[in-house]
Amino acid sequence: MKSSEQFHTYIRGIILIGYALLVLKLFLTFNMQNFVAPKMHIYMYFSLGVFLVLGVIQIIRGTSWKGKAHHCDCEGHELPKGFLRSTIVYSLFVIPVVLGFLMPDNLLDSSVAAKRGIKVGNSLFTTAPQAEKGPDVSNEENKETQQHTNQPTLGSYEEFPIEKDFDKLKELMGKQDKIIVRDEQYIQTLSVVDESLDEYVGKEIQLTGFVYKDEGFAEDELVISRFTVTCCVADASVYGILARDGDLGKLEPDTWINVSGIIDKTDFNGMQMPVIKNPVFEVVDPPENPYVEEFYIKIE
Amino acid sequence: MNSLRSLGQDTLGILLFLGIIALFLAGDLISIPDEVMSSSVVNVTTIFLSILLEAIPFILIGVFASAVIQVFVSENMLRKWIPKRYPYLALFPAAMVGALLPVCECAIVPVARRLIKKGVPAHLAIVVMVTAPILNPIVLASTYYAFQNNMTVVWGRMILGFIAAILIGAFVYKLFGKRNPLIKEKHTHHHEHHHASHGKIMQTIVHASDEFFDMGKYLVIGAFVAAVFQTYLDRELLVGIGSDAVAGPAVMMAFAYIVSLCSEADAFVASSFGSLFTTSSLLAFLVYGPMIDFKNTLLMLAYFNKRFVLTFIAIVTIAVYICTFIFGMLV
Repeated sequence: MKSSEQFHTYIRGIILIGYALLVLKLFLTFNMQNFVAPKMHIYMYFSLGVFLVLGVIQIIRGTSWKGKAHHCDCEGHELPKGFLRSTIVYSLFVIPVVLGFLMPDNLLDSSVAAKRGIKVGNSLFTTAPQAEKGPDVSNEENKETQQHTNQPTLGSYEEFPIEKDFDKLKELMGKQDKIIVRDEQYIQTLSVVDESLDEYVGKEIQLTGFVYKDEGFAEDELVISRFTVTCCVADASVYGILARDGDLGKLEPDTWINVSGIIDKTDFNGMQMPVIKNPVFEVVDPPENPYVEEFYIKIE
Repeated sequence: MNSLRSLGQDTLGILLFLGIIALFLAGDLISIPDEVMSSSVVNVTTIFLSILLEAIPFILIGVFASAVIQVFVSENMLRKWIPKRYPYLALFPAAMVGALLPVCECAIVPVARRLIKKGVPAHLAIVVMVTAPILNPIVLASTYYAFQNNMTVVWGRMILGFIAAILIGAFVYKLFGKRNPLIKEKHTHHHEHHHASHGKIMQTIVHASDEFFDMGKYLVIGAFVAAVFQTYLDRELLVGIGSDAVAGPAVMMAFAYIVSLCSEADAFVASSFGSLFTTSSLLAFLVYGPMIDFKNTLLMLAYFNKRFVLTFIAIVTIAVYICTFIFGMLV
């Protein structure tokens, strides 16, 4: 005959195995990165191992008929009392497992971006920028630049080298006529453009991101943005680059696009910032890892 | 009657297990109707699971660290190390111990509780608890990366974290003295009898599982509430108030409390606010969040009595606010 303590041990064992299976499945389906940043995955392997070991041991202890339950009273752990309480407490543990199995591949969308504010260059937009009336001076200049540069084209992302060192990346980008923003160095690349904007006006830039539109944006304005994640998506913030184009502006928010266009600068609430003009684009599927990593400079 | 009950229990467990296996194999084939899956439901779920998954390994590490202290550090050793006669002076070495522990705020709660159980005075354990998630090499590095253009924030966070922790320890000692803030335990008389019968490793494992379930329920609730706030709270609201010298730090502290970020990641969130906030508001966010937040309040309630937790929150709030306010006046 089983004691109530043994029953709790048994149920707990099953729940622990449930968590182990959830973590395992997220890894097998490559969905883990939708929740936790890749550099934290080592900790998730650790949880997987611990859950498996604890789960198996608890189930064995919970089902063995020999001896008394080995519940450790010495620490004042309290078992939930009564049927209703137990059901509530264990449901709390089961719900996340079920949710995780049912919706493993959801991405944050632009409604979250709107609540958090979007970082464009070094400034944060939470308030709508004032739509500028009439073509401004930089716009006129831009028309000239556009005539000199070639029509932008969508190239392969592999063409552009990955450079881990921030200063070397800066140097490298200075030499290129076309900047391709690779996911591996998304924030670094955009920061370089933002830092020395004058140098990059007129150059071509290509990147992939989702469409974000603020309520206050003009019809042809949007931000091509990505969520950046440090540890888990709870700390995600949004980072992007402004674009102005009639056709792009018609896209629905959250559409993923691969865009190439010419960098220009614009005055936004008194701040100079880059804007993509005259773009070519294609609608694409969300990339395998939709989140990009925060900007880390290695201290040498 | 008893065998019927036992049969019912077995069936319940097997059904639960089969359900989990079925979901494991075919969970993604089930499509949920669009009416339920509105964008905010999806976002809350994603953030909820993310907080939970990310916190779990650190809770487990904390649970094991607490088990290691339980096995390897004896009460006598601690008694020798801790200066009994100078309770206020002891705050400084305690802050140093906190600085040496490279753990974040989820993991430190079970460790602090274990220290108190081992006979460390409550105010010293609390100092270790509030310093460990701030004065910590990983947190220093991430703050440095996030605020390279504003070094004041980086050293300000470390210094204010230290000063606030000392103040908190002093207040806790003043108010609680040598009283034990832990929830009263039952069944202490079983103590000897159980320890004799099992091996230490088995004991640690059983223990870790029990502790995980003790804290887990609070973690689940905490993660859920934080996810709801993360989804619905419009950060635009903060921008107007955040630059105010008096209200700014208070608002940012409230924000840090409800979003319950890990101390290793919060610097990046703070840096995304960038120039919109004063340095002291950013520091209030960066110092207060690791010391106490919604998720941690619930974790603490698993071990500490309610009155202590509430007083502790009040003390931390006052100490951090005063520190950042004075900092704002000076810098």
